[in-house]
Amino acid sequence: MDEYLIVKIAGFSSLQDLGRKTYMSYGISSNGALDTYSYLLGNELVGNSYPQASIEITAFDFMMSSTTDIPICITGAPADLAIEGNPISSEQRVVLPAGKMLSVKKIRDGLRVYIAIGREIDVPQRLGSCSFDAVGMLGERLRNGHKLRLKESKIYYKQICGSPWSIDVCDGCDVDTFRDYLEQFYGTTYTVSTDSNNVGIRLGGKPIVGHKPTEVVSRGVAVGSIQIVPSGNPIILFKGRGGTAGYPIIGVVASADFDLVGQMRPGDEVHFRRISLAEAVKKYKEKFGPLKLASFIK
Amino acid sequence: MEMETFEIIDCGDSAVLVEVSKVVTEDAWSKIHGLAKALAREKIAGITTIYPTYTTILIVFNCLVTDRAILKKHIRKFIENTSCITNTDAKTGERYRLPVVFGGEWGPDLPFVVEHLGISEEEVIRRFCAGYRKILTFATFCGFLMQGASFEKRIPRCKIPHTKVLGGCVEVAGNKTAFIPVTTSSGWRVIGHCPVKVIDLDSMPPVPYNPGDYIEFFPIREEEQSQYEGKTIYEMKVTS
Repeated sequence: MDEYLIVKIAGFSSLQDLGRKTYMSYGISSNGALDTYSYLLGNELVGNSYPQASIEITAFDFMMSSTTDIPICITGAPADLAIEGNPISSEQRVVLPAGKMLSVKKIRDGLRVYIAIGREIDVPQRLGSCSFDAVGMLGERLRNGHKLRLKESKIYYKQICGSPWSIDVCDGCDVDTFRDYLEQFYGTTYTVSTDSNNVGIRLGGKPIVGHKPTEVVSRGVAVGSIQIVPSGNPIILFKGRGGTAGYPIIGVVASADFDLVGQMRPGDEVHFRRISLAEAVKKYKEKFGPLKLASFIK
Repeated sequence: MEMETFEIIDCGDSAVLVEVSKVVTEDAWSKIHGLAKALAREKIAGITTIYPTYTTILIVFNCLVTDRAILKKHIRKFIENTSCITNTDAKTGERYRLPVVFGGEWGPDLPFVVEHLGISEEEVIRRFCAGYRKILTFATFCGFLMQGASFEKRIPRCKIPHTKVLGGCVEVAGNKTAFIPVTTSSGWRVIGHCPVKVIDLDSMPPVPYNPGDYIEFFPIREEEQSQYEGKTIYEMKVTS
């Protein structure tokens, strides 16, 4: 079912974004939010990963509701802000509950208030912007009773926890050593040992024995490397690993599944699925790409 | 650089291993430590870790930022175009002498090593302490791996790794020696313990030694440990 913002009293308001960037050579001005900082701050605080259309309210009182719970953040000039008469703070992410009335009244000191919306509003883009242009009549002012459709909320990756775990694995640097054992490894259901921590997750199950060599020249190992120790049991070297390892590595957990490895409980069952590097990268990008904070991952 | 043969091996979706040799040689070690320093100076976008060890460099990258194919091409080109890489930085050649209590609770695997080598405990300790040996690479939390003592046989790692080895332990495996300053798990054979404090996390770098420096161990009795416990690695540096 479609979800909407419903403007009750529009006052003097419009939808704004950063405006049009590249058409000045045709004499078309950028327009956009007149207080760029307040506009961007609201978008940032409400959690948008890129600047979405916000409601710019100029001078006069404004009221709206939403048909769904929606995160908002109000910035700009001081004003009396309330939901159903209960005061709310500016410059904070607030959820406007479905059916409740948001009011912005008595704008003072400055002229404009911005309501950043934590969802994308379905509004026509003209020359790459929804901003109101009174000269070219691009965009439009909001009216009393105006319904603004909200686009589907962003689908985040759904991480499913629970035993038996299925963990995706790419080939490791010693995959050739285990050529004859891959079928066994990927066909075995292992049990997470109680001797597991942030350094290594030890796994019990049918041991892998007979491969040569059982030791290799020590080298740096990536997080998620699955080494086979001489007893034949796999150990997933995890984020606290020691750096070097000298047992051969059968595979490396796909980065997208590190989080699952971090959630496995002692005694849980786990099996591995062999995927290509390209599949692993794709899965990682699908999972972490939408999270803007992912750029901070070390 | 005369690096006629090198391989870039995939290690999962976010790392590659640059390997210049399958066996540990002085030459291979020099090359990769020199190359690692040169690569670090390149500041290639997306690379988060450059970790040289014996004959390989582990390069970890953020696959949201860079692409494996581009990165590998960049590294390959860099190696091929770098005419003269030396490891002079790595050959600092500083010397340190570290005291070690051997055997007993401080070196629970010493009996295994004695039996495996078929020589007396005294002879194992004498050879282990006979002269300076080179640090080859950093390992767990500022620990280091170095050339091993001149034993006749290689020493096998534990069949099942120890889950907890006391910080400061001296360990052996293959033809290498390890010193790990923090308590951790390890698949190596623990033969002794050094009471000297080596890490100072309030200063950077947190340890003074580097690959290319030299360590000589000397044996102390258990009751002598206390007189070294307050000492730091800086006091163990040999200046001559």
